[in-house]
Amino acid sequence: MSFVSLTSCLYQKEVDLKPKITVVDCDTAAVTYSKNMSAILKTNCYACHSDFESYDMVKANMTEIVKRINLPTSDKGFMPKDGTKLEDCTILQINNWVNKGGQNN
Amino acid sequence: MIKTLRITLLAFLVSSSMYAQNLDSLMNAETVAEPDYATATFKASRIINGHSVEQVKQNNLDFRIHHRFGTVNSGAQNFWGLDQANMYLSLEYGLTDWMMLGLGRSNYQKSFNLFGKFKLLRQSSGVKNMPVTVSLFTSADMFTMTRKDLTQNFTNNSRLSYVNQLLLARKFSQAFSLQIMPTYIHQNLVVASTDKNAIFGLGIGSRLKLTKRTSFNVEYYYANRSTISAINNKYNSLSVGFDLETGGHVFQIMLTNNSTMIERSFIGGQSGLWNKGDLMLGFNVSRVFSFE
Repeated sequence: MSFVSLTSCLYQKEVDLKPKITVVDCDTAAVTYSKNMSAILKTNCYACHSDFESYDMVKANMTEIVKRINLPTSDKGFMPKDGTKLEDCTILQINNWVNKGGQNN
Repeated sequence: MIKTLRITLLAFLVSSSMYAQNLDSLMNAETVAEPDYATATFKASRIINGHSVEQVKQNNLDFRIHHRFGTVNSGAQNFWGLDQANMYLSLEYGLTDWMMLGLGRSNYQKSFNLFGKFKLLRQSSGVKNMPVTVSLFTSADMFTMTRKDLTQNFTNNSRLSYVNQLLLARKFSQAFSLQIMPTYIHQNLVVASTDKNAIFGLGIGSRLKLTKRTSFNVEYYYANRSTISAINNKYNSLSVGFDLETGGHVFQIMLTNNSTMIERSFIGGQSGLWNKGDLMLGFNVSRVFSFE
């Protein structure tokens, strides 16, 4: 019966239901394109992906970027290619920026 | 006096026999006036993954086993997917010829779903002309998988999803049927903050009859999911399959980019990419028991 009686609609996202991860000194909340993203991209991506100097190209590829930086390093598609995995904080910052819609801010 | 009585009696008899004749012709007219209803628009209550307008008949119980193997591209090590199994089991009962209820279980997130399907209009020709059959499908499902990683505001309510579909089908000829399925899904819990809890989808399904006992089916679902999800890339569901009718069973065999067999997940975006080989073989088996 509880199955039937529980009929209210919720609008929950798993990310909001998880315990808050506190990476020391990692500011993921206020990530902007101009302040953080362009610097991260410059350090880690421009060497091969010079087209990422354009915001539009980054925006168009952001889902793929997030997917690839989160892959295991052994995966063929892992990025940065032949490099080491990005720092946890950097990955969190990129995830956060993409999750917020990848604004040009 | 007797003469008058005779005439009255005669008149009564004549009029009553005329009355009877009228009633007969009226009843004949009514039996002739039965509309010509379209039957067997699809062979089974599913086209492939999703529901068709077909109902389980009154007082019949349909026991269904749906099975999807693993992905074909998982390699020889996994015997191209045949080592893996995804299951959906259900019991579906026809309360009337136009109303059925079902209870199913999917191994995807250990979900139960409770659903009803109601036939609202029947395609017919002749005295009553109705171009399409229309059914309403409504379902609530609950995943029972433990989520110890979710600690804040996660309740039993978070586990629920609702699916509503209108199934509009037309049997164009003995060989060809088409169905479209406007769909609304509400999931109380989604993964990423960019995912939508409420999504609209539109499905299209078709059946092409090949022989008396076989047909070829196609089913596609589009949904307006978020295009940016950091966790999953999500694709629309596309499946092709064959229906094989053998005695009391309908056996359906298919190739699909979906391992899950409940609406919220296969329309909601748990599909792989066809061109990357994220495809799986699968089958649906149906066995109907009659309680008449």
